[in-house]
Amino acid sequence: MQKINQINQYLLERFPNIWNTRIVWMLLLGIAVHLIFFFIGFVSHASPGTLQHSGAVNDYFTSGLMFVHIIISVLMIVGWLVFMFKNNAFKSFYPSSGRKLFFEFLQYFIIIFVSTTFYFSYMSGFKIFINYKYDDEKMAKNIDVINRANPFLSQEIELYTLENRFYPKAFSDYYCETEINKIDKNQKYFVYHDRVYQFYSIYKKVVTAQNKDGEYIYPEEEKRKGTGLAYFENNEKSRIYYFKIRAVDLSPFIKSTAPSYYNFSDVFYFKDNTILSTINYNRHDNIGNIADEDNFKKKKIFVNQKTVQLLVSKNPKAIQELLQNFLDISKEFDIRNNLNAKDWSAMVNHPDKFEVKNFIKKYQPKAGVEYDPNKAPDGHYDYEIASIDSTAVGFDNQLNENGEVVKDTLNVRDFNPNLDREFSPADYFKKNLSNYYYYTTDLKLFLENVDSVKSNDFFSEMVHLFIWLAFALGAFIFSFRITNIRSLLFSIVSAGVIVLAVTLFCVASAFVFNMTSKFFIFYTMLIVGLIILLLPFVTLKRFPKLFSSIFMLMSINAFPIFIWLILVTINEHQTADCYLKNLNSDEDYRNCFGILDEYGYTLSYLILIVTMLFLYFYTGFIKKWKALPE
Amino acid sequence: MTKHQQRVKSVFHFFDNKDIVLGFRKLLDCAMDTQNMGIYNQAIELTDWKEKNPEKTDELIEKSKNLLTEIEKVDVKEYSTEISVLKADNIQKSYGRNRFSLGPVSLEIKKGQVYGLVGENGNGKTTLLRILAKEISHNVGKLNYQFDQTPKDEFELRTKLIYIPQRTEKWYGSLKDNLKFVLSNYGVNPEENETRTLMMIARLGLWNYKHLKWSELSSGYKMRFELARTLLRQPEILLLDEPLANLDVLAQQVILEDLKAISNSVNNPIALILSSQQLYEVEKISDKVIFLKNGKYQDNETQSETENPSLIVEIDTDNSREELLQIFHQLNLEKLNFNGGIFVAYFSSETEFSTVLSALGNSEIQVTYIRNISTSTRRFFVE
Repeated sequence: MQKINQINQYLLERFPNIWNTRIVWMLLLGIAVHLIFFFIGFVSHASPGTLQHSGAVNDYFTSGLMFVHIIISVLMIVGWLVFMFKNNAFKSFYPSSGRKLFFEFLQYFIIIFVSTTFYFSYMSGFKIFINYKYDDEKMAKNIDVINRANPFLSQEIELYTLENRFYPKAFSDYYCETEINKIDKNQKYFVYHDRVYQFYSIYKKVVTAQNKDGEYIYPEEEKRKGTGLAYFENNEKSRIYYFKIRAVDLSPFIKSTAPSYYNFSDVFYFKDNTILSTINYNRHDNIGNIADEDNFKKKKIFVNQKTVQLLVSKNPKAIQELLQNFLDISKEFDIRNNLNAKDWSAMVNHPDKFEVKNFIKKYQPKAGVEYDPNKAPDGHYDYEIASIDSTAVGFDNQLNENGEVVKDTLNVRDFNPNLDREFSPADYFKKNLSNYYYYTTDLKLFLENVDSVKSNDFFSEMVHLFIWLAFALGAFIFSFRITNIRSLLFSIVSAGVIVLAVTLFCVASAFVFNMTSKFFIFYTMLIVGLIILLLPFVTLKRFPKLFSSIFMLMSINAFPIFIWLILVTINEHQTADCYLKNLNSDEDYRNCFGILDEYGYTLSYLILIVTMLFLYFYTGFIKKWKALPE
Repeated sequence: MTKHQQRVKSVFHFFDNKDIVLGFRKLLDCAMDTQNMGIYNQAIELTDWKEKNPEKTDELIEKSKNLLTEIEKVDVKEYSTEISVLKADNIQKSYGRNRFSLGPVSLEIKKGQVYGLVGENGNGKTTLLRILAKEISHNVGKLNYQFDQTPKDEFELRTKLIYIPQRTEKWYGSLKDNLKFVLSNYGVNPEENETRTLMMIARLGLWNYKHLKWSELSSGYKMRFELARTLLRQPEILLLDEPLANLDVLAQQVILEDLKAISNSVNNPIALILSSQQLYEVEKISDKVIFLKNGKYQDNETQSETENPSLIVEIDTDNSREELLQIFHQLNLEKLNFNGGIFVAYFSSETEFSTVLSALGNSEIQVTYIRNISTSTRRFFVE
């Protein structure tokens, strides 16, 4: 306490301005609170369980911590104002200079900025913790193990059917036809209950031409020859048709047509994969981005390859070791399950065909409630797990040679006469469902959260919000400090009236004189802004002091808006000119960018610097105004 | 012998006569004039000792004399008071049409002078003070200020025009910090800040009040603290609006004495204009008293030159008008006014006040109050 007093006296005697604003104490307090928030951020997700819900990166806003932040900020700022308002050298006419006045404003700005940006500290703590606890190298290894062990989780039967196979290479090169109507009964095909599979070699044809309805034209040659269409992909400006060459017999590689571990190619997780969640598990879907699709396909091939190689090696120990590794990781990540490597590998290990004989639940159902793989446990996840409906997948792409949608005409029984005597896949799944469970969704969310926190840039955009919040509050407090409550209230009311008047004027002009151009509105606002900026200078000494103060305060508080308005006007001119040019040429009007599009948030910093410069020079005028007699 | 030495000598006399209260205040005045931090510290120490040992008067006198000897040795530069710090020329101010109008007022004040501004409520005292302090504008006339250093701009001029309104604003936080804040803003050497503040606290008799809160102070002490704050600004001109309001008679006299003494400093004199309702007290210390009635200017000096200086006597008695007329009938009585309890008798200029007194004495009349107001602005009030 005595030390605080000593420092206070030291500041009071030497730097009255700094003593008055209490910036030293506010910064110390602010830094302390920042450290606390950093610590909270660091420990908030120490338990892996806290990362097993969607969007953990936004926990700050959903956990109520934001309210704590707001309350602390408000308390700090109010407390600060109580202390600062005890003295006001400028109002008491103690000697002052423009620089001193500006420095005072700058201190307000810094104090408010520091007192409102705890979010950054929290996120820094959070991010540093995640980077430290789940470093990239370790996570890459873990994800590799997870992706390789995932095939043995056997939670969805559809992931183990034949069309999922990508390895050996033939499977990824050839197209797997699953539509009954398109199966060539004279060639080798495979049947599993009500599904038929036939592999085709394919070639591709790119079409860019469109008809008058904007639809891509079906290749003439193939139409004429009646070449079978495998599937197509839509790109931005083209469509790629894949046509069948001939059916290929891959039976040497296919030991069983029933669901088998050999077929599994699903990628559980890979980093930087934002499209993962949008991709369905069929190879001929429209992903939209060929590069992403290729990348994804490679991952699938990799998973399948690793799985097949492991199975082919017929090494039960290797499988058990992999599963043990996976369970160790699961334990570290606190993923709920009742698996053990020994029993699990025993469930998997059917070395003849590696057919999937047992299934594992995605969650532990409540007693008396039947397990439904498509439902999340009550209240556990934020959303229902998307069910994979194989019949809906790629329906649009089932075009015949004429480009028309085809419907089933052949009967499945033609291919599988024993159909009625067999279990359907759904029944097979139900019948062989074990009591083991593994919360896969938790694991996926956990991995997604870890990566999203690591890659999350919480600063570069949010900082502008806080900068302008600090400016607005700082300018408001500064306005009150240099004038009085009367001027401040009058300027708020006048600002409202001016906004209303300008709006009415623009609307009236649009109706009466048909002035609907946006430039008319922009220039009206700019002129009004310019008048407001000039009025304090013009009215000084000619009009009552209060009148000048109203426009002076408006200038101080709204100067950044004025600069922004100038930039918007420039931007609109640029884009309008560009539109006009491109209208007469072949250029796309969407390529027209103005200064705002080009520099984006950087302009926010520019506006801040310009505003600060303006205020620096404007303080001279403020002094002049203050010295005026009433 | 310099002015400073003369003053120190007179303070010795006070202590010789054991007049400690006034003597100590004068001692602090002399100490302040030295502008010597060593002397300041000794004076502060002595004040502290004095407050802690109120009964040890003899020891105090001895210690005070020792300090005075030290003070006497310091060379104090005398400030020339020839130049007028403020010249107001035909100042006029009117509010709207047919409403109150002030002036024309012309006045000139030098450092070290004290002007009293009197008049009934609503006659423009505050308005005039605020015009002189540039707080409000005036319509006609010129204001000229002559400071030691010419202000760079209007704002700096305002920092030098020190005006204390009748109702001062509340202080927040430590009283001493508020005072130190003034000095640091005026760029006083940080090492001297504490000393100068304590010296001012000591001088204005606030030693035992410096740790209190603003709300714990009586209105008299609030005025004193406000005065301390003001004096720390080292004003060259000081404009006080009703500094005596809310003070008891004794406190009024003390504060007026202090104001007079401080503005009369040897090396740092201040031009002081104060408004007040306390005519008698103000007249006693003022070099000039300005009377405002309906915004019109009169003062005690110019008036006596222009008009026939009659003898005007104010008398409070229970006796009747007739009885008074009978007593004064041989004394060239011009008129006798009665305004609700008090008689004002106007005699020709030949009549002496002493004659009036002896006439009253001989008549065995019951007089509760009598005052010669011929040169006092009081006469404007009773007219």
